[in-house]
Amino acid sequence: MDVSHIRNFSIIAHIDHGKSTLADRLLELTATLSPQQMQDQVLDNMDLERERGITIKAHAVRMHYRSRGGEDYVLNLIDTPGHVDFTYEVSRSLAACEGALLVVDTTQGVEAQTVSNLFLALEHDLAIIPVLNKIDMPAAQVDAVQRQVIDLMGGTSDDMLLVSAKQGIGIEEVLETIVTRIPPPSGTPEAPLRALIFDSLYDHYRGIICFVRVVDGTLRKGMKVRFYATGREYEVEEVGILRLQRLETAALSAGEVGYLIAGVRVLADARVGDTVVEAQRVQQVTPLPGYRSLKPMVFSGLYPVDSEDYDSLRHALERLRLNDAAFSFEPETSVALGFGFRCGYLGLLHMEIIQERLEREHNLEIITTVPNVRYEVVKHDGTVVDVENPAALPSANAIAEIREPILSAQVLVPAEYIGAVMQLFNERRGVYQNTEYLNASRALLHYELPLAEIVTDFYDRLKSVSRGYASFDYEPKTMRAADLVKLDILINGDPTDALSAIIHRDKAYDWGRELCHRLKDLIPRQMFEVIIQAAIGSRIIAREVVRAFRKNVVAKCYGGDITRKRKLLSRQKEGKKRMKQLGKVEIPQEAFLAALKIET
Amino acid sequence: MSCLSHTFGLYVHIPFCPQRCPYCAFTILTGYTAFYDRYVEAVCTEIRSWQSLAHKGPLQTVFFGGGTPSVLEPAHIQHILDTAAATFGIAPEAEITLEANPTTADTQKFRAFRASGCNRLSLGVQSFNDTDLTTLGRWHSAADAEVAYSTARRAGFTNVNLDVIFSIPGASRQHWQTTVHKLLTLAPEHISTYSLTIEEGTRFARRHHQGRLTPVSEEDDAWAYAWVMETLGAAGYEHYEVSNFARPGLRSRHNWGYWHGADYLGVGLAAHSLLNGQRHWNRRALLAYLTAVEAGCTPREGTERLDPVAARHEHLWLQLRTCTGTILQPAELQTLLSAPKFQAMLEAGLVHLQHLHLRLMPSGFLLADAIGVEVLTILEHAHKYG
Repeated sequence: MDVSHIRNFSIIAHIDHGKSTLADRLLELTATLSPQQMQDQVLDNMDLERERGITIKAHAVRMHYRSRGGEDYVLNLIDTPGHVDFTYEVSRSLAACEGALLVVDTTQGVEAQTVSNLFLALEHDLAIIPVLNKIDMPAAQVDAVQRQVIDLMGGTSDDMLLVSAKQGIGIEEVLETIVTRIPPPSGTPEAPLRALIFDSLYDHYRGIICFVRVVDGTLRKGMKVRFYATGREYEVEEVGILRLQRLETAALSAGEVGYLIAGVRVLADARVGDTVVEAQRVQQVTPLPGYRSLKPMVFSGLYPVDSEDYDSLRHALERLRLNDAAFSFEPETSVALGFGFRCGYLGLLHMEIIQERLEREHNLEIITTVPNVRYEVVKHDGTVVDVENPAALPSANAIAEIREPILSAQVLVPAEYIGAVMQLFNERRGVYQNTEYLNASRALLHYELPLAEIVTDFYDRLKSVSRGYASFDYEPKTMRAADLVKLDILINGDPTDALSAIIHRDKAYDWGRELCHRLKDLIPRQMFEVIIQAAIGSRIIAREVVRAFRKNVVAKCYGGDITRKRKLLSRQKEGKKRMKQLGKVEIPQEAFLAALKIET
Repeated sequence: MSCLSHTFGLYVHIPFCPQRCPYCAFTILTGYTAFYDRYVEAVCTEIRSWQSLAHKGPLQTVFFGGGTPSVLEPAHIQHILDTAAATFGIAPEAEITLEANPTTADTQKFRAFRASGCNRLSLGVQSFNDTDLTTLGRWHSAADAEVAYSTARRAGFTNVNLDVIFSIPGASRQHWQTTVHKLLTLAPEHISTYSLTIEEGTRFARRHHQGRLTPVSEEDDAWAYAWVMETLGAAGYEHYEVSNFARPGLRSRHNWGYWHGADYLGVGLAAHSLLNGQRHWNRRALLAYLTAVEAGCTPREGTERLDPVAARHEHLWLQLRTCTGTILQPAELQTLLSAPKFQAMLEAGLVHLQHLHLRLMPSGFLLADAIGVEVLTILEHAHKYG
């Protein structure tokens, strides 16, 4: 393959700005798939992705394009996930490219993810082609958005392509510009092999399939390779290119994008960002830069509503992990909820997706505990322990300090909402860094923000204080000590571990009161009184009572009443099955998520 | 005597009432006086159609319920009883109950009812406070009720039940005490006390939704029930079912059958039957019922047969509502004892357990439904996974 006729590129955009639709049009125009095969947004092959309109897993596809100059090109489109939880995966996909289409919706303008994705692309020295989308819409503000893009990245409006992916307007110009403005890959086919794994997935028949970009050298069937980060060696069983299906080829050489099957059995061994090298020439190469092992950022307990479903839940989690290396789980036991799992996610969206898939694809009823972050607890004896579950926090007198993850956060906001957004960040313990004005009416605010502050209702609040105009993005920055305490909830005097939270001391009092209040509303009256208390250590800071039934009996139950009455009792029994028994009282599932709605 | 499966009772539903009370959600009809003869004839036809059950006879109990059975002529009742006697036989000591309304009280008529074979009269007096009776939309006064009671006595009824209602919207605790004290001076053999329930579809429900009627608080409702249990108990009445009190030996044998698994045949509009473990019920529309029976067809609308576990569980909660409670199977006891919630109920004195015998304590009667649901939930879970 002549390297000068290969172009590797990604499409980057804020969510809903039309990335997937543009990808569909490119595939159509290059006859990569016929109109009959056309299914909207073919790259998103999970139902959930299509429903949510976001791309969760990256894929790649090779297109053939004959340029206006009459030359044949191979265009490799490397799709990227479109959400902040998957920033690392985006960065690895970008590392496999020489250029990127930056899609901006002209009805919306530049958003926070546009900015952060652009910066990511610039970090990788990619050629950027701004593509202004949805120009056919009445609400399109082409001039204004062009100015925003110029403010952001310089250049002139002539550098920008105007398209409507939906209507198919301007698509051919996009392909032509890819060929002219994005440089060909620069590797040397004769050099020792270096290939970047930018994605991988589990296939039921073939095991792990790695998606790779060959940077240097040639990857051949039968070759002995080593995955640099894991140190494991494999024999290459198959290589090939990615059309809509896999197409086996003899080799992949420098500059090419394709797949690799090499008897890798678990996803954890084919880590995104790892470098594939030739086993015999390991000494002659340095690995590609930027590899990082993915660590879950957000944790929550998952418990079966019916304890008999424990094995089914474990099985389902194992299945999910086959396809998702960033998802982790391990068994844990809760006094309140019994046997379950502590699960780790990249972020909140990732968490929601996992939970939804468990319920939908595996038909499991689960109780989710309130998510929390990973804390580093420094003890007086100098040891440091990671705490992923508030219930596992060492006792207060053993703790020297607790460190929490801090984010570097950016929020892009119209000028009139700056005040409200700043207020929200202050409430959330944000530390102001600086403001960049993209133009007179839009500012990019930079904050340091504890991750713990966005795992509850942050997004909803941001949306409401900015009337939906603010867009938010972040990346992890550091761990930092804070004055954090453990807040316990006691039900009838017994600490209910699944409701414990680690929280900043200044907020603990309000939090405890509010949570007790919410629990009171969520817990139905029953045969016995339910006393709900919030406590820090042994100090009770709030108390609510759900009064017991005084009378609960239907007066008449004669011959004609019995059937009706039995059905009524059945319904009540069904209701009880959806609750968790704590001693002599019952707590509905929603109670375990009550803390999510708390504003402090 | 918890198993009554060898006894056989007959329930006859008389759906007619002079008018509908605003709290009533039963299958009743007003203004159908022209249909009385035809209806009684249909009921008799239906009874005769059950000739196949003759081997279960003679009937130990007959119950004319409604509606207001006493709106019929004694001859109607006589005709039905004669037909029942001819079809199944009626035991000489059978309990034959007729529900009556104080406004239908008339010495001649009551005498004739007594002569037809009815030996137990159930009078719906509801309250001895006239304000309460107005609230309830009754068309008789407290004095009328008293007169009706003495009429029944004069007519020769030596076994009389009085129905009363508590937790009437707007009524003070004192109203209820007055009513119960009046009951005690009248000294009937049997008393049924019903907490007023606001049923969907009634005028009370509509007023409640419109905010024109405020139900009694749960607190007051609980008080009224606890108070009447205590007061009637002290006066020598046996509290033998959630809503029923009787002088020793004078429980309603017919109703007792419902709670202890007796076979019963229900005839008439919307009547339910339980025969050999199968339940069925009749059509609810008068003309549909009449035309079916007159055409020689079954007026049955639906049936159900519970699987053995469900049947056992139904039996269990019905028995729990009575003073004798239920005899548990050893496996059931084991399951209950291992449930923390059941232990809590024992500790709280809601239920009493002696060997395999489980019954409600007075405080448990206040929570009989919650306890029933709890016990069944524990047992069902064990059955599913045990």
